[in-house]
Formats: sequence, structure tokens, C-alpha cells
Amino acid sequence: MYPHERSLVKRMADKPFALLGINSDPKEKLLAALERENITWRSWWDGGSTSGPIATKWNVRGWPTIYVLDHKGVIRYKNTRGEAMDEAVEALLKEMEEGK
Amino acid sequence: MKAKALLLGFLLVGAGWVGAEEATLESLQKSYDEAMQALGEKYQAAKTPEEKKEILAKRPDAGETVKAMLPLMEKEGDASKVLEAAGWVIAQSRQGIPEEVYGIIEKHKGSKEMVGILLMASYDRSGKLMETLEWARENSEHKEVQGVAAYVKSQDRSLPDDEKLAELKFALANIGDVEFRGQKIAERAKGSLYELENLRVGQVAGEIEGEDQEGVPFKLSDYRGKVVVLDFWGDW
Repeated sequence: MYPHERSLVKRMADKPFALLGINSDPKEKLLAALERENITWRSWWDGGSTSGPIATKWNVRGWPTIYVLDHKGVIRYKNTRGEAMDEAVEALLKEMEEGK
Repeated sequence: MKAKALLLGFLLVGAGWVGAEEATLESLQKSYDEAMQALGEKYQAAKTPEEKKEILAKRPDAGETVKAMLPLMEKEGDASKVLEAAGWVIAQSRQGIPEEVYGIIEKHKGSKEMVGILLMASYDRSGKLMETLEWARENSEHKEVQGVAAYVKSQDRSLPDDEKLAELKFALANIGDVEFRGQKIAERAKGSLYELENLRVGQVAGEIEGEDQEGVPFKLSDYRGKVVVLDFWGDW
């Protein structure tokens, strides 16, 4: 996942786009991963386990779980991965530019 | 002669017979689980891939334990013991659940102790446990068992959303505080209900508020006006 996400974030750096994580690791593990993997995007720290408050509320049962939201905050895609995720982001950015 | 006796002793222990005592459902499971744990520890300690491979090749045969358990399950009258054992057998049976197990479960399907089995129903590719599930959903005398069956049904991805919703609502109304392995099934059902009612494609995502790794608070609505990928992740 990391290299793919890194390249997406880099490619979209000057676009109205954000990748936001919800992380289920213990704090030290999260800090180590951020440094080791050179992760530049922001994550909520969800209390150190997979049963943290955010993951519980969002009923997340498998990791990673992905949601793609448009600029109005509407859920547009669930659990899209890899290239399909990139295409989803690009389609939503295009839609935004076209003022829909 | 002595060597033979020793060997026989090993074989019996391997099959789950503990000394001269008669094997029980519990003792059979226990010796298998202990053998697996010992194997896991050896595997962890092994240094070379060859060593690891050799250890894996000596993995205890769950099939043998299951074979020894089946007649005991037939004889046992206590539904909770039988169904506990059946759940264990199902969890071990990656190559398919032995036919006999379905018959044994059938005998006890009206029991209050069916919860664990029902929660496993969707993993049974034969679909036979799904029939039992349907039966329990409609006919169990125990409301909470009906509720659990409804919860399991609601997790079927091929079910239309309105039917999922109906099953979840039925589950929450009937499930009470039934627990499985320390977790209340109602909590899981509530999570599914929230997802179904609030996290569908086309709906505005609910607020997320929390802190980042430095303890700095931020929220999802700070990012309105941007396309957002939410990634629930862990470094594992």
C-alpha cells in the first residue's frame, strides 16, 4: 500500500485532494511506520487498537478499508484499491473542476 | 519391546489419548491445541527455512482428532458440549466439514447454545449450515438464537439493503446481551446498522474528530472542498 499511496499523494500535491488515515496501531508503532515509510499524510490515531472509536463507529472489520469522498463530503466509492482508487480520485477532481 | 510400548504411547498421546484415562471431547481438543502450540513455538525458534519446513511437515493431523471426536459427539447428551465441539471441528475443517457434523448439529439445532455455530454458518461453502441458519431464524424457540441468525443473515453481501436492514432490526430487537468469545453480538449488529444507514455511497460521511500522532486535534469537515481518501490502516 505505502508506495502506491505515496505516489498518489505526490501526484495530487497541488490539487484539492487529501489522503487521510485512521490508524489502528499502538502509538509507538504508528510513529515508527510514519518515519520508516516516509508518510507525509495525516492520520487520526484511533486509540491503539482495531477496536478504536473511529473504526468501531465506521464498522470497519477489515484493514485496509478505503472510502473515497467528493469535495462535498459525500461517500462516492467504498473499498476501491490501486489503480481503481486513483481513477476514482481523478474522476471526482474532474467533476469538481467542471463545477457539478 | 520397550521401544514398541513407548512408540505406542506416543501414538496414543498424538491422537489425543491422555494416559489411561478415557478421552473426552475436551481432552481431545486440548491435546491437539497443545500440540499445535508446541509446534508453533518450535517453528518460531527454527532458524533455517529447511528447519521450518521440516517442523511444518510434522504438524498434528486435525483429521485424526476429529475422527476420534465424532463418536463422542454422537453419544454426548449435553448440547452445549456437543455444539462447542462441533464449532471446534468446523474451525479445523479447512478441507470441508465432515458430513457427520451436520447430522449432529441437526439434533441440537433447537438448543440455546447454537449461537457459535450460527456465527460460523457463512464460512461453510456447502451451504448446509445456511439451511440450519434459516431454520433457526424462523423456528428456534429461543428469541436470542433467532436474533443471532438474523444478524448472520444480514451480513450476506448479496442481500438487498432493505432486507439487510430488516434482519438487523429484528436482530437488535431479539438478540439481548448474547456474547460470543467475550463480544456482545448486539454491538456488532449496531455497527452494521450504522454502516447501512449512514455510510452508503451517496450519503454525506459523518464527522470524524480525533487527534493525530502528535495529539493535534483535527476533523474530517476541515477538508470540505477537497476530494478525500479515507484509509483505515495499520502497519502489519
